[in-house]
Amino acid sequence: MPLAACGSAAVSGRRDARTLTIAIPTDPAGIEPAANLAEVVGSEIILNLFDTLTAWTSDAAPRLVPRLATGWQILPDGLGWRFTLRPGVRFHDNTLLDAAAVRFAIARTIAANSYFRATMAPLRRIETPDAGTVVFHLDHPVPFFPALLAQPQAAIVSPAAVASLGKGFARAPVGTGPFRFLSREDDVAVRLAAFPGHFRGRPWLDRLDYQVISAPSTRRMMLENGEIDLCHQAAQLAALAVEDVAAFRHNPAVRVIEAPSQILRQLEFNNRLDHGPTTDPRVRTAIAHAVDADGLATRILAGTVDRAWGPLPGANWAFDPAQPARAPAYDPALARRLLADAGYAPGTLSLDLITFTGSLWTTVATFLQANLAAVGIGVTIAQMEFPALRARHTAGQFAMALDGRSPWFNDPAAHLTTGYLSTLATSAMTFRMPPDAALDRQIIAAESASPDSQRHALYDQLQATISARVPAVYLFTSRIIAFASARVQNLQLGGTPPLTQYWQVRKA
Amino acid sequence: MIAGYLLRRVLAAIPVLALVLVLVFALARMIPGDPAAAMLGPGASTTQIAALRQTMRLDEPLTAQFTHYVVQVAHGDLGISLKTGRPLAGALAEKFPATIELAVAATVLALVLAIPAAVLAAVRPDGWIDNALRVIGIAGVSLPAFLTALALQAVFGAWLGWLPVALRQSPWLAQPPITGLAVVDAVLRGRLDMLLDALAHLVLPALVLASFLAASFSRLLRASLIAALHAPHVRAARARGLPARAIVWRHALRFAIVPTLPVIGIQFGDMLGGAILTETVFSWPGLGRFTVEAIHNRDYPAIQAATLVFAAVFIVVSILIDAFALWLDPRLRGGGA
Amino acid sequence: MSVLPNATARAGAVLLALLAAAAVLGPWLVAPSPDAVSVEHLLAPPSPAHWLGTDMLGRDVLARLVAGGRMTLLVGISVVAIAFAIGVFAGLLAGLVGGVADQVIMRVTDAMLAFPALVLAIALAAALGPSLGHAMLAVALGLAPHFARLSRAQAQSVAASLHVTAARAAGVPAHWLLWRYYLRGALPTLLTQASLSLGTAILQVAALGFLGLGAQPPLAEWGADISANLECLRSAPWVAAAPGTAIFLAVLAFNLLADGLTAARTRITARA
Repeated sequence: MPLAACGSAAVSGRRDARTLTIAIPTDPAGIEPAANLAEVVGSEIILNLFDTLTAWTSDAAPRLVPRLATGWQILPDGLGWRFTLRPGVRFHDNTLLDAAAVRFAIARTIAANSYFRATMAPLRRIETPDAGTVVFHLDHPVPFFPALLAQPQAAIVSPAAVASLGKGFARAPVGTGPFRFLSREDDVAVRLAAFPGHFRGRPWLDRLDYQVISAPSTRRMMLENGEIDLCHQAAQLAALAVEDVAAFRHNPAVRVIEAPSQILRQLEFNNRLDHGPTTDPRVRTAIAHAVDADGLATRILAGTVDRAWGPLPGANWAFDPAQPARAPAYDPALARRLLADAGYAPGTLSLDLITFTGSLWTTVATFLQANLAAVGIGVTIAQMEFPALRARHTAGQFAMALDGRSPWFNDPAAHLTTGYLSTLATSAMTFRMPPDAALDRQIIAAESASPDSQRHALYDQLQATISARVPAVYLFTSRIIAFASARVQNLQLGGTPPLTQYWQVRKA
Repeated sequence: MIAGYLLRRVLAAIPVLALVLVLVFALARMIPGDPAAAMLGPGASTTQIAALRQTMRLDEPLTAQFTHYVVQVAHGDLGISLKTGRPLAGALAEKFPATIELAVAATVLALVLAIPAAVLAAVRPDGWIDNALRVIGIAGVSLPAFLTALALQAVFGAWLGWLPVALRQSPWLAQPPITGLAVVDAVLRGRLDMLLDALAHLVLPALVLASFLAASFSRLLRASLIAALHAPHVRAARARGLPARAIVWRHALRFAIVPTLPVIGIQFGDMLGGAILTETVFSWPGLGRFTVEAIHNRDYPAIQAATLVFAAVFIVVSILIDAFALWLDPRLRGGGA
Repeated sequence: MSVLPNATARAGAVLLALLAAAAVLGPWLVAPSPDAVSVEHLLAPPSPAHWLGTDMLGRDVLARLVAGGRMTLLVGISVVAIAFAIGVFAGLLAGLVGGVADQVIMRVTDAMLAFPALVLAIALAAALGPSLGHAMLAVALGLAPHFARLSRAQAQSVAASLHVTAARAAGVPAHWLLWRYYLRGALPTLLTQASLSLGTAILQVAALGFLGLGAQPPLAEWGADISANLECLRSAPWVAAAPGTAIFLAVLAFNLLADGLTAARTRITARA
């Protein structure tokens, strides 16, 4: 059958060897810094279209390295940082990168993006003493400030392009990255082409093709067929990768690339709710004891997640080894007793649980529902897409949510400050802690302390304090898993954040 | 005259279209609570909600709202997508050719499969071919479309590797669209590799859609054909000694198809519905997938616009099919025998 | 007139009876509960303890199949009952009263038929929120026009027939007449349509479940269970294959029944 022959030929024969085809599960939400609300694929595209002042290496022990900045020092009073810019860097539209552009970009993103505004809360003002120097003045010392500038939202956009394209900039972004924007079809594909004038040199690949393929089984078949080169790790974050991982390990044509992450998944409570059963700490503790988190992490999601016990994931350097002992153990009998103490006979308590769509979330939510049903709590699950859930979360319209938090820089502050500082509670992906000046002081103190040993001690205390209030039931951290064709070389997965840069990637 | 008939059918379709508009308009207003707040989501500020309420004219009387909506649609303005902020008319125009290409391919495939099957069954009623085809036909309409899609994809795409598993064309062959129909575009560009690539990607999804249509169409055609074969003029032709094949294909078939056509019209509507599931499984970038994504994103203006387009396409197609029936069988024109 | 004169109708009826028996008696015959998760036995193959194995949360597949069957049959019957009631009444009204009411009802019917049924169901589910109840309502509204058309045609022919005119002339009350003549003529066609519609209703509710717009967790519904278990298709194909086969068999049963009834009627009218 000639069609079959051409089908196979189309699949394996005359392929463009320098195009990397990446399967993603959903359309990216924002591909320029001002529009990006921590959505994974959009953030990764930004890191390939744009550059940041600093960047993380993608090896096992990530380090912060210079990118658009060649160096940085803390100011003498400790309340700020001075960055020296790399000269001669050009945007895709051939305009020159300078300090004014950096200032414009950062200020623009702060104004337009509530998440970035939250992480940049300590920033007071930006100075540009000359075209190659940028000074950031802060309200209080932030030892990890250079790491904040490695976030995708801190990427530098071309002021000239923003001026000329206006609102159209979001549909055709212009940066300094190794790839430039080529085209986009909503819900179908985003295409990037190599930028020969990139300051690190031209990337090996000619094209990056992000294809939206929502069904996991389809992605897997296409990878095995050679129709795509890479199943993006974002796809595995919302799907059940257990079987795929097992199958691909036996397939010589496919490589399973894994890294631990600090992406936490938890059953969280709306801690700013002033009415309802979840305001009673006994109910929250009962729920914590009712969940078989070990069974979930080690059996049902075997091999694709690591157990989490508290507000800091195990992979973080400030993780307290005493935390696993503190975490509530699986004890349905104790849960029932606590509920009885709180006045809820079995079958009288019903709660709503909101979560994302996606088979991983469906499975975990159903499992939690069963766990809670076993102690007499009836749970109704409502699943919705990422933007809808974030909106409800920020507005506080929920009692329980099966949610996740992705830290955007590798520091405990990314979890604890942004997550638990009560003044930031309604801004972004937080645990909505109620106003508590004492806890806030403790959090800021831990953030600003130095050296690291001092910070570690303060963070140990903080982990104990926070987990005692049961703001959430901490379930697991998702491992970053990508499936790549064996022909793809030099691919390094970022762990935290889970974003890949394709400048050095090649195909055999 | 066919022109006169068409005109009458178009006029008769207008009240139907009006009702479709009412239903589509009502869909957005059916949302419990404040539709504007529901559409923008809980994170919206009161100013944003007020702005949307004003754009949607929610505080005006319903008749004024509806009139405004109809005028908008008549001007080709199908609203703005809540997710992308871009005009829906443009977005739908991008996705539309993909679904049409799929539907046409499926119809052609269905006819190619069904007509010979019906003929074989009709010339020997109750024979083993007839019974076998009948069972296959009933089984064909009993399978859910998404199961057929998954099964074909797994067998021909993954296991045998004969055909691509998903998408409309291989990503490295992607070019900006000319007409939006992959097959036509490939021909216009004179690229054989693109043409074969487009056809290869079309086969499986079209087959899924065609299976349902082929099964029901062949049953109807068979029944109609059996009746036609006993009709007086056919018996006369046989008495005159015309070869059997000519009788079946030239005389009987032409008139047998006519009564089945209205049903094709209705089945086309079901097929458009089936396109929704097929496009989801095969990641086909058409109207169906657009609608599913709109639902997931709670993009109500997009859902309205997509529903309207589906209905409009269906009405147009049924008018065209009826006109085709008229051309095939002149007896249907005018007052009848 | 024998009710099930031919092989097809008999086959359909037998299959249907088996499925109904399984659905009704199932919970007593199958021990495990459809919702009981068990981390010890994930994706277990068929065994004496779990006849069709377990799914990825350790729930018994057969139990979910049977529970899904009851759900499906209940949902199917309710949906068709609603569609039947609305459609037959509307058609009767249109056929008997005629005039403006007829025109209006027919235009509304045409408008509803202009939407592919799934599109209507999806749009309604989106507007009202995803739940089994909304899915059922949407599917019922999509099926009602078919009943309306049949009912109207029958009502019109009855109203115009000679028997009726004669009986009316003889003074027999109109309502009694119409019910008697209408029912005798309309019931076979309407029942065949009902059988077909049951098959369609099951397919559509399964499709909505597959898309996540129908039954929500932990409800056992065949369509939703298929989409939930697609990812373990290779290592545990029985988990998705079981509900898939069940959908196929149920719809097949109704279609065979409908087909057999239609064939019987055609043969009767041909002989007459």
